Amino acid sequence: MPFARILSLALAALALTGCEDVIVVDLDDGLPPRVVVEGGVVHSATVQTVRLTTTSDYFAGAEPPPVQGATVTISDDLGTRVSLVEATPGLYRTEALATSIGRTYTLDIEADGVRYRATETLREVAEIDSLYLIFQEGQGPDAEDGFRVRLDFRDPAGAGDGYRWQTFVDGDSRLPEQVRRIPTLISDDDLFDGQTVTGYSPNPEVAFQPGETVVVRQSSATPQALAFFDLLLQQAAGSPGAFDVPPADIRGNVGNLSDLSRPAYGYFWVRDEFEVTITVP
Amino acid sequence: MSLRSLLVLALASLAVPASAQVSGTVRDGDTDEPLIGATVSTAVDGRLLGAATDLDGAFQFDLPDGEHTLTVRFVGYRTDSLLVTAPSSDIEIGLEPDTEAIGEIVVQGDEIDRVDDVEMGVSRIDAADIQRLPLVLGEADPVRALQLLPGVSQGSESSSGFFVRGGGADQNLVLLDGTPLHNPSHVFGFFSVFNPDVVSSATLYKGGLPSRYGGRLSSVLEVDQRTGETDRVRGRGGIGLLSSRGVLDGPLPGGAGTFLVGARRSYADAFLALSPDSSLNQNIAYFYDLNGRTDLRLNDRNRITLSGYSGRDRLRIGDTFGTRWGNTAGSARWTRTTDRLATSVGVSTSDYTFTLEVLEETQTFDWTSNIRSDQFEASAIYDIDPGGSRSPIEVGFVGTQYSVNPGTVDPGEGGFLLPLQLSEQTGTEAAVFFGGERAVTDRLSIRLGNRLSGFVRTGPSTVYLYEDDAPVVYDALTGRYEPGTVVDSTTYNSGDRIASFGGLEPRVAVRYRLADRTSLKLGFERTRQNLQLVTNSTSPTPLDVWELAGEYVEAQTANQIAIGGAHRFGSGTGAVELSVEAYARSLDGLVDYVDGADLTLNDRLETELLPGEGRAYGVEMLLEKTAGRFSGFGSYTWSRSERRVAGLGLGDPGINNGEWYPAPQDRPHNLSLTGVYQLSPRLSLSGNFVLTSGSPTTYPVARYTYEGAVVAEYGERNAARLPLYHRLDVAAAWQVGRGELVMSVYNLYNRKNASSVTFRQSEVDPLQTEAIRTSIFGIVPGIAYNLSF
Repeated sequence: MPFARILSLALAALALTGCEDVIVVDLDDGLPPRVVVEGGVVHSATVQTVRLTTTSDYFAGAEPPPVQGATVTISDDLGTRVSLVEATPGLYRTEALATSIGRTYTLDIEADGVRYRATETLREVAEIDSLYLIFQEGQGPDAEDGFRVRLDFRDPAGAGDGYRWQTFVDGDSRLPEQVRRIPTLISDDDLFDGQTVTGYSPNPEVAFQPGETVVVRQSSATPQALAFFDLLLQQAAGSPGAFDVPPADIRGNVGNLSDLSRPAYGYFWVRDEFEVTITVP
Repeated sequence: MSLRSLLVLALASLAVPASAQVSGTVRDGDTDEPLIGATVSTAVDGRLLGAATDLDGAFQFDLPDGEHTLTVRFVGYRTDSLLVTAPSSDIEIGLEPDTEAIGEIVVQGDEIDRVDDVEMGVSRIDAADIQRLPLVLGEADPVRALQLLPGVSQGSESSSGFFVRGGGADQNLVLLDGTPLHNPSHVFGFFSVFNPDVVSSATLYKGGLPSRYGGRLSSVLEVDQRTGETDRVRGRGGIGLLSSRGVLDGPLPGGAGTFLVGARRSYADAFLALSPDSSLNQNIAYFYDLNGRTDLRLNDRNRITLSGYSGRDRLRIGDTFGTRWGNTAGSARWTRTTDRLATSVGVSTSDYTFTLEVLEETQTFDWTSNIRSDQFEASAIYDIDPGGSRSPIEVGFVGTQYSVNPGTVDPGEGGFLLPLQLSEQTGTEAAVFFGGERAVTDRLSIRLGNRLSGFVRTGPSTVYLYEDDAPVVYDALTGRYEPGTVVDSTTYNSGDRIASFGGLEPRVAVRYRLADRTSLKLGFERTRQNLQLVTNSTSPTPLDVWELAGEYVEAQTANQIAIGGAHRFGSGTGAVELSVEAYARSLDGLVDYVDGADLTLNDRLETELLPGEGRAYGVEMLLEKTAGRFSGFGSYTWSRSERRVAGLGLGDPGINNGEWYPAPQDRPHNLSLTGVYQLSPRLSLSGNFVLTSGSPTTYPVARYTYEGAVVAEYGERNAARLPLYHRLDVAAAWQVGRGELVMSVYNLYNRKNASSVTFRQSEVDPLQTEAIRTSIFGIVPGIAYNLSF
């Protein structure tokens, strides 16, 4: 129930704003690197990309090392298989994959003699019927006045639909890119299965200002993807605080066929997307 | 005088060459009620002779002919001395309640108890002392005070949840006048629900559990409200920075008995409203407590006690969301006392409800959860050996009905959300018990007890059935624990049995006195627990929901063995007592959650947890000085609390590959020093110093990047530890008129104690990562004025 959890976490955060400072911590690092998979299949997209990197020491402070020279293929459950080509170091792409809703896609990677595999089914996402802006005063500490994005959509009947919303602002330099992009929400449809959802606020914490162009993307997510993004978003929001789930590795869906004890990190995300752009007047 | 006072001290009176008998009665000086278990003693040629009072407050023992000074002691009363000439009979002694004693830290009743008492692991704090300790924001709090004692540690600075001997916060049975409270905290745990003006004493059993108590593994915290004054109506109150409180108590008309009413309210929101900042002045934040108790005296032999409590927390952030939560509890108890028999019958009910209101326009909803317990108890104390060495025997029955609503989501008008109701839970717990104590020789004393308890989880309920009977499955390829596949479900009607648990809970305590000043003690006990708090966060929160044992969650069992000793050094005002106890405890039926488990509004919790076991062991030392101008105590505990979760046995790693790992409440070192110095009759100074190992946590070992966000790869669960926790608090108390002004400074040297250390991406340079320490309280001055009239 990630939707309600986000709210309860926000509540706890407001109630307990302690004093924060940066400290030096000694970590048990120096571990052998692991492969990280980012990317996946976007329905009807011209280009499909998969980025392969590795882990590094926690305080490394550098771009993640790319995995170069890997063999990367995506196949579907009809036997179609395409190879991805390394365009820039660690970034593998193809324009040859035709996708359709309901197909299951498998990612195969062979990097430095180790084979990895991930499988996920493409689900359809509801369209955004309308997207609009509402001015709100910030409520609670650190909240900004500004325009909040609201949207309407119809959830299809039948439980098990999952959503992820991402909000992008063009030309906005107030925040570093990942901080701007990551505080997006996810939800399953447990509490609104089959309903016409109106006035949904996908990102209540971010206020937009006049002149900004906002892109809201609504994507489908399987229960496994929701679980992955739920934990990812919690970490990006600065978890774990005193009320948070104890920290643990975020398990993705990419297994290691050569050594089961060392699955890859990241997620092979197969999804349908619907995007709407709006400019704050 | 409640029936709990089976605190019978078997003193070495039997083997003394008898010359002359002294006998009499010890009563409450105010109410004239007999005090059961008060000690009357005197020293003869370096030996302590004496007896404990029986059910009628009567005592008798033999002394050499001649003059003796008898010392009479009882917990919560001023110690009294009187000169008698043996033989002597019908000695009437009235003890004055110790509610206004100054400057004493009475951790345990007095110096006799440690050496001569059969009980192990019992700590008491008296109400008068609780208010004199320097505490956060100047708010006196019995639970905070108990955290200074050996074997007790604090959940976190933002939590009044406490851990006893490595047990979880949900393994403490917290009783208010005998009624269990399910979440005894305010403000996310900063304060306990106990108004210090209402409390007469707080007793914590961390071992040596009397057989009448059960249902929790680690400890019993027994908080009693005061009985009202019998002579006239009196009031007391306090004004502090955070809250104010007032209590009124006195006799009922016509000598029918006494009453007590009390109230406390915080006013943080009053300050918020003064803020010009609209993001703050629209907010609501307060808590309140209402207490009441009446003791009705029907006649000399029959009494009825009615007790009630209600408290709420309220928090609302503008138009976004709000919460309210709190306990409501009440009890009625009838006590009948005859010459050799005291019987008691009581009923009680207790409810804890949590509500979260989300006010976001079309997404408005109320989320409510609650637990309610209804209890019936009947017990009898029979004096099998009046005036002899065998103490009264207690037998009894306790039945408890639990009903839990893990969650209801009630959407507001005009929104798109659907209502949701999680499966409600019902269970019945029943226990019969007996207990008694016997002095075998003048040196050896044994207390025996046993408890037979059973728990039945019943419908109405829907139990899900999983493929291969596996609610949790392990995906070996991705290394993820996943919810099992539901293949069917069983619907149980009201009263249908779903699962049952039960067994014996033996309790044994032995005391052997090596010399007058030294004793050795040995104890064993088993405890069972049929419900647990579903919490996956670092410390307990108001949102946590109780889960009853059932089809997939086992009842828990703990076995504890303890050995200890006590020795008294010096005498008079210089006397110092040292006690040491070592314990080891094993726990079965524990569960821990899979990595990243999502417990919120989850109707199938069994898919998120793995079975495990636990162990805890440690050594506790307490040095205390109770008499003289300087009094205080120092305690040091070395202890460990660990868990092991082996997994499903399908090649899966469990937690930390099935190795023992530190439980969240593991605190290897725990030191506290507390002292009070009586500078003058009107002025006392006090201070306490606390030093504790940081709580276990999990730190990153590496990092990677996903969508531009830096994500941590973590090491073993709980393999790291937060920095050492320590602080010094000081306070001064002045008698001013009829009141007392208490000024305090919490965390005098402004130590930034970490309540958590988190890791995040730098906002300045997204490639950089940093460790963030969050600390709740820096230096906090406090002032409070306490008044009684």
